[in-house]
Amino acid sequence: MENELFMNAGASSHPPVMTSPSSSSAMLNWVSMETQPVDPSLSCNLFWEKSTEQSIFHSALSSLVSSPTPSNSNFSGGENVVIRELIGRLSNIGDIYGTPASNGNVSGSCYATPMSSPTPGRMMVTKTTTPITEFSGDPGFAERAARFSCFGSRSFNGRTNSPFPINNEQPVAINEKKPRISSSPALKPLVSHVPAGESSGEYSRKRIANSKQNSPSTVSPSKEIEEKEDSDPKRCKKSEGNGDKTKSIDPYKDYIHVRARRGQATDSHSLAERVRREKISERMKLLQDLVPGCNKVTGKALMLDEIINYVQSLQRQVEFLSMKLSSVNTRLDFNMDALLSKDIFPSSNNLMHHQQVLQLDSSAETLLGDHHNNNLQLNPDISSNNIINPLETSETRSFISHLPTLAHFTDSISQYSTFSEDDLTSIIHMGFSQNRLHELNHGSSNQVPSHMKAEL
Amino acid sequence: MERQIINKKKRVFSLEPNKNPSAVFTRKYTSHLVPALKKLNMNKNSSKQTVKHEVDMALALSAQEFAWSRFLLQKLSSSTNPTTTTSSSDGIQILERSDKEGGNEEGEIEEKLRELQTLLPGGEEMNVEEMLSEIGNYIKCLELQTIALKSIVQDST
Repeated sequence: MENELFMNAGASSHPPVMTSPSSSSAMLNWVSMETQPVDPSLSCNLFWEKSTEQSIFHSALSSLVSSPTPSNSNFSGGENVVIRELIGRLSNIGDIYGTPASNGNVSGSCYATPMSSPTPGRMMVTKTTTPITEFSGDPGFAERAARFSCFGSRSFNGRTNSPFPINNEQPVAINEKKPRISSSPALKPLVSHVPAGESSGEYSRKRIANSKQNSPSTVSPSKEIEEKEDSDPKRCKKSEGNGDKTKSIDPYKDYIHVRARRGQATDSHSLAERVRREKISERMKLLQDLVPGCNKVTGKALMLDEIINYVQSLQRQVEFLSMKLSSVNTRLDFNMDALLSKDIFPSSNNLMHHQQVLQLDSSAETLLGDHHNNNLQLNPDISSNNIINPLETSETRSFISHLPTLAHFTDSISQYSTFSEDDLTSIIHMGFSQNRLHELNHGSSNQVPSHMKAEL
Repeated sequence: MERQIINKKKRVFSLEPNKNPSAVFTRKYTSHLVPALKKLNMNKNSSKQTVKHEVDMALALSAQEFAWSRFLLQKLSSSTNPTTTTSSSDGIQILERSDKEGGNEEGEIEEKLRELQTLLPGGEEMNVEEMLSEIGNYIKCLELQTIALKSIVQDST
């Protein structure tokens, strides 16, 4: 089937010309959309930009697209070779993205998260095989794609976050051409993305060492790309005089290519040192946002001091709380369901607030479901924001007093009846934004006491 | 009117659980810790160390995406003594030493990075860049853990 596509593209060059740009952008859009929902709910993404995956796939695929072009001249003979190369490279990418999830590796923590399972990565890779083969027949598109791969490197060098503005900039001058980028195009995007991709870059380096042995077929495509890229410099305009730093992985020699900045030392030690220092400073910037009070501090040493102190204080707090918990634990039985339904959340902004409302575990459901007939007058209050905090309000105090019907709550009722209004409000103020709560407290308090009296 | 309220309540119930990472972690953490504590309580042999062990175990289990959690899990399963207590005391010592040095800045920074490595579970086995990224999410998880513990303690008192 892929052979047919090649033949068709060779036979009539016009349809591919028309369809390919739109399909390429569609494919890339689809790639980005594919990567976005995968992103998720994993804390790694609290710290790292989501676009790393997008940009990685972007330029990986664009470089793949540009690869078949040398075979255009020799179309009939070379197509099998090209297909094999494509498949080899695609499987390479699939391996690269598939292995971190499957390894359960020690190092791939942040990098493994975007792929919740190996299959999405692989599926996406296989899906792209057919669209890519359609592009091969168009030399004009190949040229554009080659330029696009320059953009890919530029976005990494320029440390931008969103690869999509690249499309708009296409007629605009690109960053200067770096022929050495292309030593392994499929692997280049993995390492040349400087911000936030550091961990992925290192892991990809390790994996490249493995894949190097596995797929010798990547050798020839990279050579082809190198020739293609060498012919490009005339097309890629240089916008900056200084050399930006570039990193690429050479699969043969397995060392990093770094371009020295203007006016700086060029020996390998200092270059490597500089690379390392930049990585570290990137991470430190992210940590600065995380640790409170770090914004005012300048300089690495002081910031590290702050971070160390903060981590130590957090650990000491955890120790102290666990000691307290152990002392408490001996005295009381735990009201597990109520605790789980309480849904302890740290932040108090409105977004979290709404999320609290939305998130309802089954335990909460059973709690409230059993007693809805008793609590109807409480429901307007509860449904808004108190479902999550059944322990905190005066209404829910009465609600809890209904719980004796459930066997495992009986022993804990006595503790809750000793709650005072002050205790409850202090708990409320601890982590939740509950402005409406007070209104509700006052609003329906007249209905409550009767319930409490009846039950207690 | 009542039916509307019930329906409204049911509509709220039907939504999916929260996917916010902080919420996911907190939920996992409490769901690990509270049953463990309950079991400990029933067994009536809860020493300070065992509770701390459970606390650390809950932390490690709730954050399994990260490298440090794997290290922590290994440490906990291999030994009953949690190492976080000792590391914090070591950290204080190293800090004092570096204050006395007052040497070159690079050396200080290196010292501090090494100290940070000792704080992070499994930090010694990572290189510096890895360690810095892991520290970020370790801090976040510690914060969430302290909040969860605080609320559990407050509920029980």
